[in-house]
Amino acid sequence: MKSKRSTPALTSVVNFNFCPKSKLSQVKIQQTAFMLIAVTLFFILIGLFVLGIVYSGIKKTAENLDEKNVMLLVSKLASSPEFSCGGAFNSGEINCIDADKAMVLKDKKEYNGFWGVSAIEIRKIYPVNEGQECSIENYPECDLIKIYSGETGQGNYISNFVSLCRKEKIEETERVYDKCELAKLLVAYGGGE
Amino acid sequence: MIKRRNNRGTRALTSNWKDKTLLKSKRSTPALTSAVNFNFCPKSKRSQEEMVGFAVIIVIVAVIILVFLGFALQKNDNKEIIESYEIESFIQAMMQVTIDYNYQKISIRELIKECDFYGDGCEELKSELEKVLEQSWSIQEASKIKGYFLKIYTPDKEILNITKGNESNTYKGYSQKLTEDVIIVFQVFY
Repeated sequence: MKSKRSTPALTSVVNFNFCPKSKLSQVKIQQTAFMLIAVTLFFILIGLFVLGIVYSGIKKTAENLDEKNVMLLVSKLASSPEFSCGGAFNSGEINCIDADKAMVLKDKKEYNGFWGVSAIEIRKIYPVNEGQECSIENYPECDLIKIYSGETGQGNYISNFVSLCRKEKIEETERVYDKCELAKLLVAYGGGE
Repeated sequence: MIKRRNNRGTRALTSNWKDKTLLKSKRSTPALTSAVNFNFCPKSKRSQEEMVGFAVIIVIVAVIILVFLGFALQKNDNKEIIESYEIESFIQAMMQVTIDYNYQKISIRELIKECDFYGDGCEELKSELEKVLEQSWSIQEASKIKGYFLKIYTPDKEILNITKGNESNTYKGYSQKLTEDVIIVFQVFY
């Protein structure tokens, strides 16, 4: 008998009558298709998961490399011509920073990004004043020389001990001597250079 | 058991149908029916086997993922609390610090020599070094540094010995010859 419906019945679209042979094979095909979709989705999820972990590993490796570079930099920076005391103080000591050079370097825009780090600071440790940031007005009665700080001013700091030296004059005798103080050279990385 | 004849006009869901269809199936992959049972056809041993197979696959995959996670999330944090170069730099920088002694401006290095050769200024030296160490290596409850030890000596005598905090098995240290005889040893425990 021919159906007179204008729209096809639901049974013709999704046939729930599974038992006859020809229909059963259709069901089997459907089952296989669903299974394949499910397995594919499952492996895609696993793939995404693995990618996430691998990517985080790469990020960690990059951070470690950054850290190592900064460690190398911080241990050598005091000997660079821009900072080093050279032969001007004592007898050409190593790990010695010329405070006057650092103050001049402080406002040099040309050096922004020169060392490829987020920030470079020199913080006096001994003797300490009132913890003020150094400027032309209060130098040398200050404790923090900000050579360069990135846009964000954040990041992980790696430090090294240095002696911060400058020439001072004894008022009474007019004699000039080398005044060295203990300081920490701080270099930041990973905070938007 | 097997229904051979049926008086019904339409075909009934019988075990005869099952025998002819499901038992002939030779699927290697588990069928959806094992996960979602539509209960359209009578249960067979075959479907149970498929379910068990599927469960075994899931368990194996879960174990592999767990093992992988275990390796992946293993902490490789080898960062040291104190680096060797810090100790070395500290000694070198500390030696250059200028202090007031007898109305003179001299470095700690010179004061050590003064103390060694003439026996003068040893008290001032100790006091200054204690202050420098206090400012540089703070030992507090929250601090990771447990203690430190500074010794300045010659083969004949001990010039200075400053110890603070507790000693531990993990430490970083450095020794340097100041002159021919004078040796400085500094260790930080963490």
